[in-house]
Amino acid sequence: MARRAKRTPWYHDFRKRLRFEAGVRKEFAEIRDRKIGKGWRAEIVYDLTVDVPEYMERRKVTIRLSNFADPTLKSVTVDGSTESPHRRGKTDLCLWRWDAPPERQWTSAEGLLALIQYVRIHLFREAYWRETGGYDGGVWAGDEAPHGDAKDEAA
Amino acid sequence: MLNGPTLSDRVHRARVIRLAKAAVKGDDSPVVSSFNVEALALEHVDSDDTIAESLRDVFLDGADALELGDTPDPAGVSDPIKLPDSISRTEVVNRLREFGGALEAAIDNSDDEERVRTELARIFPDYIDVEASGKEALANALITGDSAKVASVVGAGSSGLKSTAAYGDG
Repeated sequence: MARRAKRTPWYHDFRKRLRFEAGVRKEFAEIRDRKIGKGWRAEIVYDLTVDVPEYMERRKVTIRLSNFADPTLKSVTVDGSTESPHRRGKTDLCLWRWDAPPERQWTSAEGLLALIQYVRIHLFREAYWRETGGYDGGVWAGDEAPHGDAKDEAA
Repeated sequence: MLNGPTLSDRVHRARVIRLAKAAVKGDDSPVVSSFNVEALALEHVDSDDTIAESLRDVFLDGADALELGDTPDPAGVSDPIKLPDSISRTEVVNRLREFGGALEAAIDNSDDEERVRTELARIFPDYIDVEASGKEALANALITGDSAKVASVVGAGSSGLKSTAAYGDG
């Protein structure tokens, strides 16, 4: 009788974690990870500093993930300027709509390095939007999801 | 002292001097006086060279000369030209070599416009805004979906990123 494979939270699965973090420490040597809580309910947190492409700016980034069978993104927060059309509150980046299809948002199969690069691109878009006028006609260099749906607001 | 030997020589040297002064005066504390720039140009500009090569030589050969001592008065009637009081000889030499090194890199990479702009921006930051062009290029690449350009700027792990749509409070 075949045994069911034991399911393990991804952060405790050494191979899965290696795959997920592949290439990250080569690019961001100072990245630090920590686990808050235990088991399936734990929150996995990565702290690192990134540069904003084409801008002489450095930002502290905190990435929070759920510790389910695969990493699930909970939030990305940054320091620095808070003026942006795509934030939740002052520091949480709104990288994509919560219900965007997989082909329009990061998935864990892409790995942590890709997620960090999505964040850096978002920071570039914010900086460029501010430089080109901000709320007074600033250019958002990319797509923006429509707002206002009652379902979205509830989310 | 800046006369002769021919009109084209004088025009060539005058252009080099103007560029050299623009570079030096771009610093909050210029490392040499305008008169020193003119004297160095008189000594180190070869009108058979291009403007860029002559400007490079003024900086690099001038730095070598200043490392050995003050520039002699070209007319030979006054004391050598002193360096500014607040700046050490080492600082002067290093700064001129930075200018010259950037020019040399620009000349060596003359078929790479972006590299040339980057190097010249080190010398003439008030006149060449290399950052702005880089920002606009990346913004355009993100808007048009030029993933190769995005990856070349953003770096490892950014090739094959999906086209996402930002959301939020707005």
